Amino acid sequence: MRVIVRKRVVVPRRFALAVRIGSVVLALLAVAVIFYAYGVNPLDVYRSIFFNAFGTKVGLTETIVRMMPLLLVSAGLALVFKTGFWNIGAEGQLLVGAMAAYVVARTFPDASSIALIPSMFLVGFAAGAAWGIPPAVLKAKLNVNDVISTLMLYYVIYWVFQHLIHGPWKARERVGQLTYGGFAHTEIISKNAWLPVIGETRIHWPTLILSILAAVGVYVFLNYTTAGYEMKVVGDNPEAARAAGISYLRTVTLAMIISGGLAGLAGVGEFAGIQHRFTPEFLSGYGFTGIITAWLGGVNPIGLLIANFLFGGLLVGGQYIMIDYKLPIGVVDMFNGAVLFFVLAGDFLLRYRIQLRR
Amino acid sequence: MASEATAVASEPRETDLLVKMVSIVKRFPGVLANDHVNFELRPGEVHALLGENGAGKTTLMNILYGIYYPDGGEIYVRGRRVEIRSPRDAMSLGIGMVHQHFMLVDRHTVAENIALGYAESLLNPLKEIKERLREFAEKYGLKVDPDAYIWQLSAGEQQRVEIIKALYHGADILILDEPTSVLTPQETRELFKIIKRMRDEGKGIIFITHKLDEVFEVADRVTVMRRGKVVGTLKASETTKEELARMMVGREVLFRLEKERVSRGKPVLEVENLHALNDRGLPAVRGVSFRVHEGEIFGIAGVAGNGQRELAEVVVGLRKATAGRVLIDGVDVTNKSPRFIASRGVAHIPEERLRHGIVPNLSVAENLILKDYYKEPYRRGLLLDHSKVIEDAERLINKFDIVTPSPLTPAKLLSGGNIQRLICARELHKEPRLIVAAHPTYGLDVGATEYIRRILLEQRKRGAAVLLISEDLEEVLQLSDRVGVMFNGEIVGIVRPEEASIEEIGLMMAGARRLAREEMAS
Repeated sequence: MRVIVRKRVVVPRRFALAVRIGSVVLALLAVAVIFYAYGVNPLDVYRSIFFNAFGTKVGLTETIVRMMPLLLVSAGLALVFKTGFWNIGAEGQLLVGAMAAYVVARTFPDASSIALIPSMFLVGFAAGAAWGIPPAVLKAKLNVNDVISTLMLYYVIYWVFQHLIHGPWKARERVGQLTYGGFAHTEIISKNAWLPVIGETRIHWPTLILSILAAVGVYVFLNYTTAGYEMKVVGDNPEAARAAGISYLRTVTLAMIISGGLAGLAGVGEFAGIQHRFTPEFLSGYGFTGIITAWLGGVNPIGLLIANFLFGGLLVGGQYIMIDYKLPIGVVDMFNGAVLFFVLAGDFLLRYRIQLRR
Repeated sequence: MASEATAVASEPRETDLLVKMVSIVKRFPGVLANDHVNFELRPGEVHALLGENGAGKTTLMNILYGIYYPDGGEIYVRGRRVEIRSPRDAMSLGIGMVHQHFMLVDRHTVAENIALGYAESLLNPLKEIKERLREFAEKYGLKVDPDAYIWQLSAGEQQRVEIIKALYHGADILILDEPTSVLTPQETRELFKIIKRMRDEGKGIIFITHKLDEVFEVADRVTVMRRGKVVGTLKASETTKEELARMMVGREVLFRLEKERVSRGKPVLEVENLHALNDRGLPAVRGVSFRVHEGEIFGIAGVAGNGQRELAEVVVGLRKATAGRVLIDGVDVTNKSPRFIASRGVAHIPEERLRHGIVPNLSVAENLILKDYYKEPYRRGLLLDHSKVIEDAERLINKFDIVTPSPLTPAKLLSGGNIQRLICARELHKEPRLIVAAHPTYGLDVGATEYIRRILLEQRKRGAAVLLISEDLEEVLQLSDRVGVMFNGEIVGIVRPEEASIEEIGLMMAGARRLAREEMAS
């Protein structure tokens, strides 16, 4: 028995879709084994995830709450991946965006919502973009590895953040006559800076609108603008791009401004829409999960919506199974990992044809 | 030779055949690359495999070498039915192949590349390899620096490494995929000597080519392929160039291109005492000066790796000059950006068209606007006007005869000849002042080669200046009004093709002769 691997010349669209779906199904099967090892029936678990995520009103709205930041992050990542630049640090760019929103909200606590909310999003976008630019410049000028620099900048900002909430930004609490710094969290921002939500849900609709605009926007940008054309050329053949006079620095920097900026918006939404203050547990991994959904969805608004909606549901359903089946929190992360693993493996299938011969 | 002749004359028994391929079928999406192909190779023969690009000859040999697995048919090696599933299988059967597109690891040295799968000693194989490399250099004249990295080598030098690799594991069935395209006439002759020596030892050599002259110089038999089928197998001694060409293309081919007299205008490109470094940071262009005029084709002849590539890159703005000047129509463009130089009316048909010329996954239409997308009429504010892009693409596809299912087909799916037509369409439709053409017909079939050459002559007639860099000496001599010969980064002579002999140019290419300044044609 011998395995033969050959490069595919053409990838039929339907086959690509089938491989994507197949990857997720295989991930479900692989994780099922783990559930089984924990002594629970995988079918029950999946049914529970599905029901809790999509089968109840609360579940459905919570799924959308999770979908919004994922959609913002993954739309930007899908675009930047097209240029062949690997931004693995969206989590950091998201965090910078949230921190910028905090600074705006704390600096102008008495400003009106009409002024505050757009400013937070603008400054959050700028901050996320600013955090995304250095890796692009370093890669273009000094050929610094993009995976390493984007990921390391996440750690830089993460520890800056930890320092701030344990020190300068820590809330002062008052008990009777005493004022003291208690737990490591910041003050809650003024209500003017809170994002409006739909009815009784936690869906902060400004972010919902922004996230859908982002998913459509990156598609239009890539396919209908000259800057998008430059990104496709740079991603597919950097040498031909250079010969055609397309600047690698400018193209990749612009892609990182968009990608970092959209992650920053996700951070603003998460902060001003849900949490309203920083705690050490502010981050929930949207920046990393977004890598998977960007890969699954591609620069395609429908694909991104479906992938992020399903992943949002998985995050919601995952919380319930922790409680219902007393499974550790790591199981959901493992599921994410399994999906990424199978999606990447599936991508190999798309690019190569594998045959078995005897 | 007498014994050879009898071997060819008497039909050998089945078991005497080195290779017998029966009814080979290979399908690719939308293409039947090999349609019930029969092929055989006898010991002690050089068997030329002749055909246009896309005729299926490389596919057939890739099947024999285990790179592709056939969809149908049988392969016999030395009379035994075999299944060749990988190049490793092929090698263990004594089959070696030198590819047209080099299969080398860019970031490794020559010696390390050969060590991959070839070295016999486990410990310190590089020592053994270097010794044997010296041996090959002496025996065959295949000189190459064992410590050089592959990415630093020119196409010609890389091919030398490939030939050595195949010789290294002592194959007795050797497939050579267009091996002479990067050699000087002298080196080609040397290669032919090696080939004949191996044949006389009883080895079988399959020689893929589209150069008809080579068939007569080196081959005993020739199999002609067209559109995936074998048109016929003939003895080289019993056929003519015209007959082979007709079998190959399916129609009569013009061998002599009509080169009209064109009166030369004012200089378009002026290169003055130009210096530049190669990728290794060593001097590659060393004080080159020449002019190319309106209505003139100025050819640069030379063995790969003598500074031609670097020269062309400096002219089009892809490489920095360390000294000297480049002028286009009197305007200094030295070290200006590629886009600025292109905007002065400089077209570039690059060496390695897949790597520098096209964006493989973008459509034909998107590739056609690569140099113009940022200008009117394609750019509308920030947007790209797709309907205009498609409209112009359809016009260019018709005008330049690009064979493509649609303007939206990814460029990588086109054949080599059509990719070159695409590049020509993009670069030439704006009637450029200067055309820098590097190896424009390298690897193309007869039909596409003829087409590209005719286009260059048309551009010359229109009044364009053409800087033609090619290692195909015949092409340079046939097309050029003047030829500069490069050796070791310098132009060692400028001659008129009608006044110089191929021998003399060959000597200059090898660095054995150099013209004084006043002897050069101006």
